[in-house]
Amino acid sequence: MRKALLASVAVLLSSCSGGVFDVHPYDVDVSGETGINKKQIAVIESKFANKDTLRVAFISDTHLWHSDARDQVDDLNKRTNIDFVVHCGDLTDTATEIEYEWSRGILMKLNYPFVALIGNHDYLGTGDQIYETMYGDMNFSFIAGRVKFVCLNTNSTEYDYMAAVPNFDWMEEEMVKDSAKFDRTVIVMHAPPFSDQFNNNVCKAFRRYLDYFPGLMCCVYGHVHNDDFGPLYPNDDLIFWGIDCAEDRNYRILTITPDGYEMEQIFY
Amino acid sequence: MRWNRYFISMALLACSMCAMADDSISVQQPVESKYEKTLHRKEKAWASLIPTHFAIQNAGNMGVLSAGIGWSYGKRRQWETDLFFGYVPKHDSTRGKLTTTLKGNFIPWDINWTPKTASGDAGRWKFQPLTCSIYLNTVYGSEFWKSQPGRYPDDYYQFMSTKFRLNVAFGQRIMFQIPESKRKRHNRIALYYEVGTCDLYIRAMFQSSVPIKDILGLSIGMKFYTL
Repeated sequence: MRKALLASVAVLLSSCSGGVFDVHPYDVDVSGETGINKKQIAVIESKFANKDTLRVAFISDTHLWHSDARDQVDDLNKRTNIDFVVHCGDLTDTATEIEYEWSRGILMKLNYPFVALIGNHDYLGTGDQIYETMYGDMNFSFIAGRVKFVCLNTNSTEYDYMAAVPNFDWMEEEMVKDSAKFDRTVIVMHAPPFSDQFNNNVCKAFRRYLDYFPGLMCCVYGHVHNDDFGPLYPNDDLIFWGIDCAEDRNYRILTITPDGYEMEQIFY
Repeated sequence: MRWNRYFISMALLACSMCAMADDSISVQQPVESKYEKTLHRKEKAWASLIPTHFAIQNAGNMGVLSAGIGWSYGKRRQWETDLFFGYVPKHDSTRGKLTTTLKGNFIPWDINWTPKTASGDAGRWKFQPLTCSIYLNTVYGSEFWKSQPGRYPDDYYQFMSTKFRLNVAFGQRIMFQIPESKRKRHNRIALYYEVGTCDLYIRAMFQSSVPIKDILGLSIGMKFYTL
C-alpha cells in the first residue's frame, strides 16, 4: 500500500514536467519548431533556384543582446528586397534550452527564410544536442541562384581539437556534390581561421581546400564581434567578411549579381 | 530513533545491573563512568546524523524527479538541510543524467490551523506561509565541467561552471501531524510548492529584456518526517 502510494506520487510528480516546471537548464527537451535549417533550406532552394540577383543578409552573435537582436529583425523586415538571412552562430550565451528558445523566438519573427550556424557558445553543457534538434546538422549547404552556400562548423576548441572540425571529407564532398546546379561558392563559418576556436594547425590546409570550390567568391564569419574585412592570409586575395555581434547594432547584406558581388554594411 | 533509544536503554540497564552486583543496596542514581559518558556523548552525536525526513520533489532545475533525505533542526525545526538525487531524462539528448542537490531551507513562521489539543499538543494542521531555499545542484556527465577546461584561454566563458548551478526558491507548505495512535512510520507529512530560478537565468535576466515569468519554475514536493 505504502509502496503503491509512493510510486503513484512519483509518477504524478514526474509527469509534471515542461511548461511551468523547469527540469534542468541543460535539459534537451525541445518543444516548438525543430529541424529549422532543413525546412528553411527547402524554401530557399525552391524560391530562389534561378534568381539572377540574390540579396542575403548576414547576422551573427546574438548572445543575450535580445533587444538589439529584436531591433535587428525589425530593421531587416523593413527592407523588402532581402531574399534570406544567415545567422553565423552564437545564438545563445550559455546554451541553456531556454536561451535557444528565446533566440529562436526572435529569429522566427523574420519575414524571410533563415538558416543558423552553430557558434562556440552554443556548445556549452549539452547545447550542441539542442542545436542538432532545433536546427539540424552542424555542416550544411544549400544552393540559391546557382550559388552554393557552404556552412561549415569551425568550432574546433569545443572538441579539444579531437574531432574532424573543420571536416575536410565533408568539404571534399561539397566541392563536387550537385556541381551541375552551381557555378559559384560562398563559405560561411562561425570562427575564422587564426581565431581561438579554429584548429590553427590546419589554417593553411584549410585555405588550400577552399580553392577547390567552384567559383569561390568570399568567406563570411562571426565570432569575433567586429566588422573587420579583408584577406586573412598573407599574399592572398580571398576576402573574409566579419559579421558584427547584435550588441554593436550592424549587419551586412550580400548582393550577388551575375557579374560579381557587393557587400553592404547596415547600421540600425 | 527507535533503535537508538533501545540501545541507550540497554546500556543503562547493563550499568545498573553492574551497580547492583557490587552492593546489595541499589544505587538510585547510577553514576556514569568516564567511559560511559564518552559512549553516551558519542551515541548522541552519531544519532544526530540520522535523517529526520524523506523528501520527494519534481522539477526545480534538479531533474524531472528528485528524492532524498534531510535533517531538520532548530527550536521549531525551522531549519532544514536536504540531500536530493535527481534524474534528467534522455529526451532529445544522447542519454539520461543524474544530479545531486544540497539544499538549505528556512521556515520563518508556523501558523496553526487547528487549535492545540487539551493535552497541549500542537494542532493537526499547520500552515507555513513562507519557505526560503537556496540550493546547489550538480549534474553528472563529461559534457559538464566544474571550471573551464585548460583548452580555453583564461576567462573565455565568463560564468562559473556548466556543472554546478546555484538556485533560489520561495514557497509555502501545509503540514499534517499524524495522530499518535495512527503513526506507523511517520509523525508528520508536508506538502509544498516552490517557485525558483537559477544563477544562469538571473544572469540572463540582467543582461537582456527577458520577462521574469520566463525564468521562474514551479516545483511540487512532499516530505515525510520520522523524527
